[in-house]
Amino acid sequence: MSRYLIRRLLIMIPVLIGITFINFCIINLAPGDAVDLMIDPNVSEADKKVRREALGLDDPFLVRYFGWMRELVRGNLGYSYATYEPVAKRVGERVKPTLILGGVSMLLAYALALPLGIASAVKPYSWVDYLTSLLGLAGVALPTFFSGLVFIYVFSLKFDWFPSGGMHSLGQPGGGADLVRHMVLPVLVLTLTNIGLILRLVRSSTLEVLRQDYIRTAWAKGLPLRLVVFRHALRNSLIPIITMAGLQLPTLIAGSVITEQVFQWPGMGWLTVQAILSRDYPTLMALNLLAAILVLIGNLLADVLYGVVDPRIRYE
Amino acid sequence: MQAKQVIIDGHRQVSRQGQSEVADPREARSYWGIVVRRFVRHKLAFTGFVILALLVLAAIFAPWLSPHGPYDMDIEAFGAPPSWNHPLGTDSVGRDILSRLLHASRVSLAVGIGSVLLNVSVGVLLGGIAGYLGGLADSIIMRITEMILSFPPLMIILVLVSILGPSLFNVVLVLGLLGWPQICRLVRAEVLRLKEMEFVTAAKALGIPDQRILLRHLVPNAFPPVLVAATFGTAQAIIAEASLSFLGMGVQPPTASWGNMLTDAQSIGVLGSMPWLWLPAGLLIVVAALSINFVGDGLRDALDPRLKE
Repeated sequence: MSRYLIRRLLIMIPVLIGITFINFCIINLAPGDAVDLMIDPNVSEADKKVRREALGLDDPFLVRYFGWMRELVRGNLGYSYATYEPVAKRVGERVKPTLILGGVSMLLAYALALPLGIASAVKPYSWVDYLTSLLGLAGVALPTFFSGLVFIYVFSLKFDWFPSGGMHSLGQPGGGADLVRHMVLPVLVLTLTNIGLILRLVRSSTLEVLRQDYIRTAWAKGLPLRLVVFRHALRNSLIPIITMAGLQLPTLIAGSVITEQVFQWPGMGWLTVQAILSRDYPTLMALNLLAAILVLIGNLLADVLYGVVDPRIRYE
Repeated sequence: MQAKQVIIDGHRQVSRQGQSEVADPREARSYWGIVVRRFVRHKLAFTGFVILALLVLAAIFAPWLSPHGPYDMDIEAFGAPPSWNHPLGTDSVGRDILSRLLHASRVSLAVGIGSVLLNVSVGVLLGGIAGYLGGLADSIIMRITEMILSFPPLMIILVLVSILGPSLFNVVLVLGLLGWPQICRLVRAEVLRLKEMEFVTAAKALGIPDQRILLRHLVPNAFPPVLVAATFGTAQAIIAEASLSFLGMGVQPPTASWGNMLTDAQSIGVLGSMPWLWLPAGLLIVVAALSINFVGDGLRDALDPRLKE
């Protein structure tokens, strides 16, 4: 197991280097740079050139790439073109809000989807099954920006139950209760979009397992529903769900771009939009890199969890 | 004409194989006849299809259906609520919402259909090549699909669109060039399944070139799953375009798209006081995405050769 882990981690290194290179290429193909955007158009070309040299934008491509990589290895992600802050600090302070928002909504989505999906597979065409397909549709057909706007309109503007955005109330100490009040609406929006896909998967994989011979045997032995479903079926139906959980990890971090934007939630998604609009490439590259690392970790976690759930899968 | 015959024969082959033991007296009915009958009986799918057809018609005839021009400003009605003159009200510069919605349907549906056509072309071509040739070509193509699938989708779309510059054409391009891996996998699986079968050997024995065997004899068999995936893909593309335009990185104003008509609602003032500005566009996106998904569900059931009538 530990040898398998080490091998997987070693394979990740060239993949990561490849990703940094592609990342750097894509972003350097972009027309225009931060100087065009931050300086008044009346400023002369000569002055702009000085500014570009100061930011190191005039160096050849490979020089800049290796320069960036060298600093990256030292833990320096560069400085934001927009605010001149260190990128590591800028991205770092956005990680926690995103993790809180994404983590809570993902946990809630799984906590709701597992029992609902299993119940709808055990009793097809029951009311639970209809509720499940309805929620499943919400996930595919309800864009987050629209559900977000509707929730803000109804729950903060019409009823004034929850704040319309931000993470803390201004000018207040802002304890845990305040944070929870701010989280309710964005968590609701994210859970609603995430739950659809999970529900469909839980339902179909449970249905598939319930059709197996050993489940018929379990029924034939006269085992109660509880034992058949939870002892014999559940573990086997979890495998595709774990794959998806692993694949969803990066979405949890980077995928809430629109929800964070709508609710002005100070996380990485909102920072992505800000960085794109201000052509702040160092920040954008750090965000992309972080997303890529998370994708790799998510896949690895899923592979390791297979072995935990299904003892037939072994790693040498 | 001849090509079409081959395609239909290809399908018959598959569907007959699936139910060869059934000696159905109605055997004479064509595969597509059965598919259409099944689809029409699927109530939700048929409803979705009718709504979708209405939306497409509304988009096509937008210039004739619109009470006003999509860019015409009514200087007497800035941000006016719905009235007889403006059935859905006007936006903050006095443009008629209904007219803009109708014209926006053209843009949004075109993005959905255009990017999916691009997906399908790239996916079918690469999937066919990967499955038929195997070996190195297969490995390279499959690694590329895995790479694309492993990025958080919206993030990579955002970055690419912002680099190419936000425009209608670039949105179609980016959505089209990132959405093909799924189609590619479907086509590859189908080609892998069929390439060892007798009819391929027969075609080879007849001296038919590989390219023709692939495109005329193998790829058409992947049509049912590809059609279903493309249908769901259209809904996803419409939502992706709306999301991008909502963030200001998709279709640029003054051209209207369903997504950018909601952009103004990011300001709390507009959101609260002018619901007619954003509600209809949002509802249209939901209705369009729902109908397309229902059609997709219906197609999946209707095209499944394992199901008997």
